[in-house]
Amino acid sequence: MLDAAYALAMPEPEPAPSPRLLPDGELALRVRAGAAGDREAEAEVCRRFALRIRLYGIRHLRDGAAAADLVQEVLLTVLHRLRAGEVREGERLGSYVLGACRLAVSDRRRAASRREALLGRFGADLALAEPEGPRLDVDRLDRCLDGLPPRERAVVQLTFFAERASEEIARELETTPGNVRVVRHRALAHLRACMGADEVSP
Amino acid sequence: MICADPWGPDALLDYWTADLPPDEANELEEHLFACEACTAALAGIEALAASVQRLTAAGRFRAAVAPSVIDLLAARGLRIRTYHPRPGETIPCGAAPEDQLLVARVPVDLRGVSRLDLALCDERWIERSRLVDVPLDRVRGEVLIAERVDEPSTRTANVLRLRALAVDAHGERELASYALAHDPRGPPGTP
Repeated sequence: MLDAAYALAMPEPEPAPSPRLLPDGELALRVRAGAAGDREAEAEVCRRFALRIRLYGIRHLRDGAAAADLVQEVLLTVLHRLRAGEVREGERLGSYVLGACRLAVSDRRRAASRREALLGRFGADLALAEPEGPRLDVDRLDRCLDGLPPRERAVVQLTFFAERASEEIARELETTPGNVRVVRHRALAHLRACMGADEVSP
Repeated sequence: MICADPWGPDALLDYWTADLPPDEANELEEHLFACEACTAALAGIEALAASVQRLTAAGRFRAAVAPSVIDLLAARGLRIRTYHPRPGETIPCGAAPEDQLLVARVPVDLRGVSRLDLALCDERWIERSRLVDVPLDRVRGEVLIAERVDEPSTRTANVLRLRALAVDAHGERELASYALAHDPRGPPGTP
C-alpha cells in the first residue's frame, strides 16, 4: 500500500525534448550519447544544415549537382565525427560544419571507397537531408521580370543566367562594377516588391 | 526563426554574386551557419536566381536585351528567329511553330550616344510606352529587342513601331524609326 502511494507521488519522467528544439550544443551531445544511433537527433543535424551546405556549395562551386554532392559529403563527415565524439565544441557546431564545407570544397578529390563506406553507415539519415528551399511563383516572377526597366533586367539576366562577374557586366553595359551592384540591388528590391517580400526573402 | 542581428538583402546579394570583400564574406558565412533566418533569406535569393536562369533559358522574356544573353542562348541551342529592321522601312515578321524566341537586331548609329531610349509607338507614331536606357551593342552598332513567342501579340496581325532616341543633358533627338509588321501565320513566305 505504502509502495503504491509512493509510486503515485513520484513525478512522471519528462519526455526528451524534440531535437528540433535543441540548440546546436545539446543536439551534438544527443548524437554523441546515442553513438549506436540516435536517428532522430542525426536527422535533425541533416535537416538543420543541409540547406546551408547546399547554398555554400552553389555559391562556391556554381553547380547544383556538385552542391548536392557536397551536402552528402559534409553531412557524412559531420555525423561520423559527432558519433565519434570528435566535435569538441558542440555549441559551435555551425562553425564546425562550415569548416568541413571549406575543406571539402578545397579538396574535391576524396577517395571513392571512403565515401562508399560512409554511405553504407549513414545513408538512411541522408535521405532526410533533402534541403527545404523556398518555392517561387515562377509565372509571377515572369511578369515581374517583364516589368523591370531594361537596364535592371539586363543586369539580372547577365548575373543569374549568363553568370557574369560584375566587372564583365560593367564592360558590356558601359558602366562601373559599383553601378552594376547598385542596379542589381535596385532590381532585386523591385522584384521583391512585385512578388511580395515573402516570395523572395522568407 | 528570428535573427537578432540580420544581414541585409544587399549584403546577401553581394555575397551571392561574389562582390563582398573576402573578410566580410567569411564573416557572413560564419553567421549563416549559425542562423536559420539569414539562411532562409539567402535561399530566397538562390531560388530567384535559379528561376531567372530557367525563364531566360526557355526564352521567356521580352523587350530590350543585353547582346551576350542572346549570344549565349544561341550557343545553347535555343531556336531564335532573327529579324533585321531597317531605318524608315516596314519589314514583315512572324514566328514559326518551332521558334522559341523572336529577336530584332535594330541597327543604330551609336556614335556619340551615351543613353538610348526606344519609344514604342501607335500607328500614328505617337509614343505609347518607352524602354529607357536600353543595353547597346557598340561593336555591331545595334540594339536587340526580344519578343517571346507565347506573347498574345504574336497571335494577331500588328505593327510594332519604334523610334530610337538619343538622350543627353540637352534633351533627346531621334536617330531613326523602324516598323515590324507581324503576321500571326508565320514568317514571311509562310503559305
